[in-house]
Amino acid sequence: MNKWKWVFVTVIPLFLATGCWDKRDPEDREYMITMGVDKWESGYSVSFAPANTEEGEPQKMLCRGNTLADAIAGNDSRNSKKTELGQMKMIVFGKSLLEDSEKLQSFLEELKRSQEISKKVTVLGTDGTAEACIDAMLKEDDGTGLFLWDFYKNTAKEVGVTKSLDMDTFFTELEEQNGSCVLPRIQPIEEGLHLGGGVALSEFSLAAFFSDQEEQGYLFLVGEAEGAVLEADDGGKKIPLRIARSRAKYKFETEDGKTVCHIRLRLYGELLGSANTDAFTEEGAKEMENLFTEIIKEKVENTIKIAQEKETAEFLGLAVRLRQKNLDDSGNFWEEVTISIEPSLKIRDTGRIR
Amino acid sequence: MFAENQKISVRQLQVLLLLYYFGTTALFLPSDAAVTGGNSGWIVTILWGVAASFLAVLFVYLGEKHPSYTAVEWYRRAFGRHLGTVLALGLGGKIIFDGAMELRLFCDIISSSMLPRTPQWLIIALTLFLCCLAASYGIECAARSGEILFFAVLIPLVVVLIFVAISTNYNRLLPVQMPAFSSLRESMPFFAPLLQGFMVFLFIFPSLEKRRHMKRRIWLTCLAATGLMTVLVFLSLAVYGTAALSEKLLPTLQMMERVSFSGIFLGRQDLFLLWFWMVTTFLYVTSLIFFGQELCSRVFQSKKNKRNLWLFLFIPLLFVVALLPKDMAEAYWLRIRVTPWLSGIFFVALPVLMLFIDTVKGRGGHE
Repeated sequence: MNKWKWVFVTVIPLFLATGCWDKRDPEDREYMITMGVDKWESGYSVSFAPANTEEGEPQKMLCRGNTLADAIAGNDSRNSKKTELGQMKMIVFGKSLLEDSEKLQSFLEELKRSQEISKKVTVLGTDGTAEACIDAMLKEDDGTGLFLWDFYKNTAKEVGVTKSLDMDTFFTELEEQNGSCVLPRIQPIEEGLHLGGGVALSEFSLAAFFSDQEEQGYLFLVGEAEGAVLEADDGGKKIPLRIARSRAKYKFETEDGKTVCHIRLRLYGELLGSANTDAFTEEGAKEMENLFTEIIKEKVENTIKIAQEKETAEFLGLAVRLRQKNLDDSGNFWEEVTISIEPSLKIRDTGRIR
Repeated sequence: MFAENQKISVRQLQVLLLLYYFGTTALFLPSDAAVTGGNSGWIVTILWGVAASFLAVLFVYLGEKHPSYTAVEWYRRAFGRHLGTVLALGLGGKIIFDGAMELRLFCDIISSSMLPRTPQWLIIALTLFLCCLAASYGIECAARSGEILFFAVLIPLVVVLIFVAISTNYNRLLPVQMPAFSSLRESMPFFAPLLQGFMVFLFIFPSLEKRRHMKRRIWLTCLAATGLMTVLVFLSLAVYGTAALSEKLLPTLQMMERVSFSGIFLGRQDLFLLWFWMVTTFLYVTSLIFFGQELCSRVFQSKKNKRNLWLFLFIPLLFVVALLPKDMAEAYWLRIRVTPWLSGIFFVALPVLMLFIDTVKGRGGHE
């Protein structure tokens, strides 16, 4: 056989056969952008916010089933288009599901195995129903279906009250922190949606909701508090400061037979308002820095207090750090370890005035 | 341009060898390393990689002693005509097994991540057709393709790895521990596929042009491949930690997926990067088919211009064996169970034995 026959025999089938079985035109698919999951009787209630691919506002799609696959199959049987999860950007877990450890774990197993859903999807928790969040989101949306995704892509890193969490990191943290993690929080409110705060999980179950302030404490602890705006009271005057850079370093040391965890927070801030003292002088800056350092310390301590009340150090990521240093960890963190918070703030910018 | 002299240079061989390392092994290895070596999986990778590099040097030493030999002549010369022929046919079996499993695992990944409804046999058949076309033009075609595709494969991979390295927190690698001997022993079957590219040493010497500093160059190539493999395992451990990494099927791809950096316009880099593995699988299977043809031509002493007729034996065999496992899991475990034995016999025991026989009988003029 000469070479052209070879080329013909081998290359032609590529054009004839590739993709025939998997061919499905975009207009035959319903692209889901956000998924909300709540607990429902024996299974799950799944609400979808689809992408706006046609004229008119996208409508919420609600389906129920014993598993995610079951719910999607139910949705497909009622719609002319195939449910497409490959473009999904966000998943919201409702409070009812977060409270049920067994159901949450089963659902997460399904998500973990899914080939279709990208592991870059952002996960969120809410203290209401996920369905209400989808409704509120559809109202807020400008028709693209990407409101939440845009927020976490563009704004979340700069406001310092919430932290984006992708599914891959979520699963990794759950695995290494014995089913504990802090999810970003979303709340439907009268004005629309509130994106801030956190949802702490412990042993695959809801442990606590963090307010914006408590979440800030958590963000300082993990060294991701860039954008957080702090407010100090200086003789009746409110002075704002924005955190420009945030780092956290952990060091475990044995002092007098007891383990001490030194949490060193290295922070750089930008002064946004006028103080009573001249912040451009060394003494003035020092005074401001001390003022804000105390505020930061208090915030972090308040967040740690929540973990102490819940008798776990897992969701703050403290226990896993101890395990990384000390293989003989007995698991009783708060009895074994004393926390020492050591923030060090440097004001690096005072704006255009002294 | 092809010289069409069926000769390749040592540089082309180095490129091929490096690409062979990055077959499906690179996709599964980080997870296997975490299962068997725990936090010290990356150290285990270094140890096995360095051991493999010394084995490669042994092959080059043997090849330089008998530069006109392929495995068929080596076996016949060392073990006699009959036993040598049996061993050569056994090596043919290994070629079919290695090729079929690589093909099957790769087509399973393509099937599950990109073309879930396309029948498995069709994806395998189409890949085989392409490999068959390239193999019919000889090893020079594979070497040239490797030389061109090398830059398209490794440079983006390295760039993505650099971004992963920058965005990773290395706490999960703590505490650093040396691997226990038991974990080294347990990890052996999972690291055996690292040797799969060594098949090239059993057939390539008659097709090699100048062989200057070949031992050193091949050794450095193996060390470079070990370095890249170690980086893959190290970063996977840093990104996921031992527990999460152990339960992942294709951690390398998943790790690529999470990278996001300014200017990137792709949402699923993992699927984009999958084509790099397509290239390595294509080149590996092409080379195996070529080696299979060479083996049959030499065992049955058929004419050189009839070499392509052996494709009609090899292609159906590869196709059938690739379809034997009922799913990816079965193909994976079959490879893990069988490869250490086959590689142990053909890549470790027989070469060492041949070296011993050569030394005892004073054979082989070293060039």
